[in-house]
Amino acid sequence: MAREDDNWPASGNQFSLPQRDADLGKPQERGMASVGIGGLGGIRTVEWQDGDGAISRLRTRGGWPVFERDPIESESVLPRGFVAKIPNGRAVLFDPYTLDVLVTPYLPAVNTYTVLDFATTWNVPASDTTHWNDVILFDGQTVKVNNLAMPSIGVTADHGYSAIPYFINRNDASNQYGTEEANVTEKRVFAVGRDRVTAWGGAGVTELLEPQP
Amino acid sequence: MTDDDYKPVPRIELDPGISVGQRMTIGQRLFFNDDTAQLGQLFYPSTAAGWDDDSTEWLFSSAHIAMTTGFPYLANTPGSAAIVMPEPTFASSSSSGVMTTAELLPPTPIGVTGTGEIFQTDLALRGIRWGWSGKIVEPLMGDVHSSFVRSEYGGTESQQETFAGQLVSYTGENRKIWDTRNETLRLQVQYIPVAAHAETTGWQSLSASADTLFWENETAIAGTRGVNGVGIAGGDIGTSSPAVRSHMDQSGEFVVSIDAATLVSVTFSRSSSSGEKWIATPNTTTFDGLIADPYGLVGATSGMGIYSRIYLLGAYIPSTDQVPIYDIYKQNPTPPPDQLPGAQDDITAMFDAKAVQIVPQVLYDCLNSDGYYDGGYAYSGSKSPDVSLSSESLSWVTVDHILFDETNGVYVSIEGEYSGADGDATLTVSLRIITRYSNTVQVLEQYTYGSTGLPPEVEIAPGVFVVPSPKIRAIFAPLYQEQGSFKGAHYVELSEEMNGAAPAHLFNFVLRLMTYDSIGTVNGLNESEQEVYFIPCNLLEMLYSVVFSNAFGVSGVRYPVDFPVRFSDVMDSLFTNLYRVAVRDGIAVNWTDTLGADFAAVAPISLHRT
Repeated sequence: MAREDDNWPASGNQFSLPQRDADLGKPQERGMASVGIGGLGGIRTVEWQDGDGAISRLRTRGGWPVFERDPIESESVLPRGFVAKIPNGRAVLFDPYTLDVLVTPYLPAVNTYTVLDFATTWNVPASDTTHWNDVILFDGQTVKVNNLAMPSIGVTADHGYSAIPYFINRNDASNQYGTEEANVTEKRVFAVGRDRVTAWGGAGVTELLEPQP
Repeated sequence: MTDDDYKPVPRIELDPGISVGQRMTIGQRLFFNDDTAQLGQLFYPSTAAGWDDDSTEWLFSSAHIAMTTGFPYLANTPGSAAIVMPEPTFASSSSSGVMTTAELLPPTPIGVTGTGEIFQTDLALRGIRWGWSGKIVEPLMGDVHSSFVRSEYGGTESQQETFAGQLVSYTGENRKIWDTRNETLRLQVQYIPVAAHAETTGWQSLSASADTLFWENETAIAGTRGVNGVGIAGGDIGTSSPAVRSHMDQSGEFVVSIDAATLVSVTFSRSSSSGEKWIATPNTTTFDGLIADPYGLVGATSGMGIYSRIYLLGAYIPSTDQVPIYDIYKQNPTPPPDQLPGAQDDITAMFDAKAVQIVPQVLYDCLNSDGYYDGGYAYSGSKSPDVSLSSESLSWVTVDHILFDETNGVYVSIEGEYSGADGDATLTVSLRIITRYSNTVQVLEQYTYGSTGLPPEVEIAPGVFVVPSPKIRAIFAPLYQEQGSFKGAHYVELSEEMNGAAPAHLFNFVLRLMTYDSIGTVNGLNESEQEVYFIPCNLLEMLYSVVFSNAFGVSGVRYPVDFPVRFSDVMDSLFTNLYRVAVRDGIAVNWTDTLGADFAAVAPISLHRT
């Protein structure tokens, strides 16, 4: 068999037949192999978090790759919703329809969020009936969706000024946030302040409202 | 007015070399449909001595920023908007023609009222009558019909500006006329409602079954009877010869608006007239003859008086020749007597009870009952040789948005309403919260003043004096345009409701209004402090134009304070006090108190979503 016919995404000098208990698709497998661990030699493991929250894992043993996928937990880990906060005091998560306090104390309580124009199941329990849209927020430098960090977005919110996040979704109901692999180069999060906007694409760029003081 | 009617104006581009002295940014706005954001700021240039420097003006710049996942990631399109709107230019013209103006005439008798009494009582009969006891006295509307010769100065202006993507439209009109008019006075055709009952009957009959008494055609008994209104088919008051009269009338209207709301609305008028005038004097004796003989028309079968009497009778069945209250009700199986004991007491009680209900009815009647509709009886006309009249009014309404979430139809605004007329004025400042479901108003302060607020007239041509046009600054500067950066509100958005979510709109914040002095610090205060700090620009423009001065902004001093007591009064209250705003789904209530005792102990609870 010619090596170029091996149908393995990391075709090279080494013949390594991959094992799969999940079909991640060749682009992601290739990315995990080359970007995640830099090759298939040795015993290594790399995990990527997909847009839907699932964990894809590549383990190698002596050059033999094994692709696995852990599906997303069905129940919410971190509750999300409507929050009220006492200045310099506690915050509570409460039901906006009954005013029942659901979680106390509760964090985060920030005014650096955006209610997006779509809803996913990210950190939303299967029992949820609110039909609320996803809420993306900057919690410090962490980008959270529905109060759960989404590292696969691949953005560290280090813009350094008060801003609300903006997110360009994929217009794909099954994967609005993109894969970690794709988000390496496609930065979908933006910081929109009152006098400037920052993008993390390329080397990063900030546009200003002119004139500035 | 359509978009095509607005005067095209060259785009005002900011001097690229201009720098900011002090500024206030407006709330950023996101557009999901095209992945863009709008930013904007109100500022004065660094060359100005301060915000109120008479040699400069406010400037507005914006940035429309497109965001993309690929290069160049951000694309910035700068913009700007003019703040000062153009004043209409007065142009002279002359004309002649005819016109009709309405005139409210003094109250005059147009009918009579009556008071009821029981005047006849029998075993199976009650007679109730109404005697004339008063007059219906109401003001009527007249029309002054004129032929005129007119000189006029007036003009209109319009302009549109875009404030960070928001189209702001302005129209202005100021007009004054000098007329010589030949006037006659007539009554308008009109109907004066006085009551609202369904019907008036002249008799009502009591019937019965074997064991029950009941009124035939039973209806609810109203508090009034007779006519429900008085019709006037016009009528002469003074037409023997026209009154020659001079008029000066000025009116102005200036509006700044956006799609969702009016930001500024200024209307004013000033009128004066002198010379001959037809005077309508009420004929107060019109119905004196009736009053003098209160029961003279009782029993009339047509015309006035037809409603002045009612009989309560026992019903009669011709086919069986029976009177049910005697021949059917509680018949004695072993007569005599024909009825069981107590039957007559029951019948008497029924008649008395009904009579007691009917007697208090107030009777209304008028000449319409006689088929007479001409109102000539109401007034006598006389031509006075010299009558001088004057009046003036001023209304200045402003709206400044703390939150302007147009996407979701959620608005929080400060509204100023100045209303003056003939030497008195009131100023009301309110906070309004509008959602897709509710409209809640909270009055913050009210003031009264002893002047209308119009400025002195200015000479625009030799011998031609007019009320000047006010200086209108169109300012669209919402503090926030979405909920994510606003600590005072959180709510379910429209797209969420369209996805099946139930609505919820919650607001809670402590408001501190600021003046232009804080133009450079208000954004920082909102970042660091618990309260919401807000500069209501359009309200401030109104205050300096008609409250702190009567200069209309055209005295040469941009922000004059000619009435220091008024200035101090407003500054020490409206711009000093803290205002708690707490509204849940259209109901003003401190709803955060229910979240715990520690929440109930403080007001500036901040609101968020995750």
